[in-house]
Amino acid sequence: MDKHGAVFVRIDDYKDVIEIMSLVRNKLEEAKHTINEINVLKNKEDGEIDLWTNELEDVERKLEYVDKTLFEPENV
Amino acid sequence: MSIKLYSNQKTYKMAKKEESLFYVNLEEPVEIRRNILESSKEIVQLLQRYEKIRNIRVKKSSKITDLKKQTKEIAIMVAKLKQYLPKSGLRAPPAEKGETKVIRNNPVKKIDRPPKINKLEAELKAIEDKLNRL
Repeated sequence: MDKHGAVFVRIDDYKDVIEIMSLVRNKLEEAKHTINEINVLKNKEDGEIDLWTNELEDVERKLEYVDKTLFEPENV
Repeated sequence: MSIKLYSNQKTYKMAKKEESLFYVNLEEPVEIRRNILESSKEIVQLLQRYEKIRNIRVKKSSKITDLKKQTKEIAIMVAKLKQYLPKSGLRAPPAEKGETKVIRNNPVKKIDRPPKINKLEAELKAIEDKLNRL
């Protein structure tokens, strides 16, 4: 078939094609929305993990101070 | 030398134990206590945060399942659409992209893929071949 030739769609199929196209478009929008939601959740999860890391470091720092005070009192 | 008198055996034992104990002076006992209490509080908060993260992951997993379902539906609709259209060499123009280069530091390791992925890859290759032939 000629690659640059005109393409024709039968008129009775045309309506179906338009309908399917509209459905595909709607589905794509839905999928895009879901991806956005996944991204929001992912960012939320990353934020929580960052906070988790910070808190863990804080606990570590505090316990290090306690450890130093208890076991190496001359260093405090 | 002073002689100590003890009322009974128990008091005597306790006094003996006391004599053999050593004490370490803590410079800032309040600060230590505060640190320990704060640490335990933060650990409880960490556990609460874990629950939060778990909930987020459950939600995320459900959304990913939704997306998978939507993608499948789109694929079905596109296949249907393909049936209506004539077989022609027309293709959508490729999206304009800036030059992107993928730099890999590590050599790609061959991974054992499940048969489902292999099947999909074969299908993809067949489609690509068809597209190239157009």
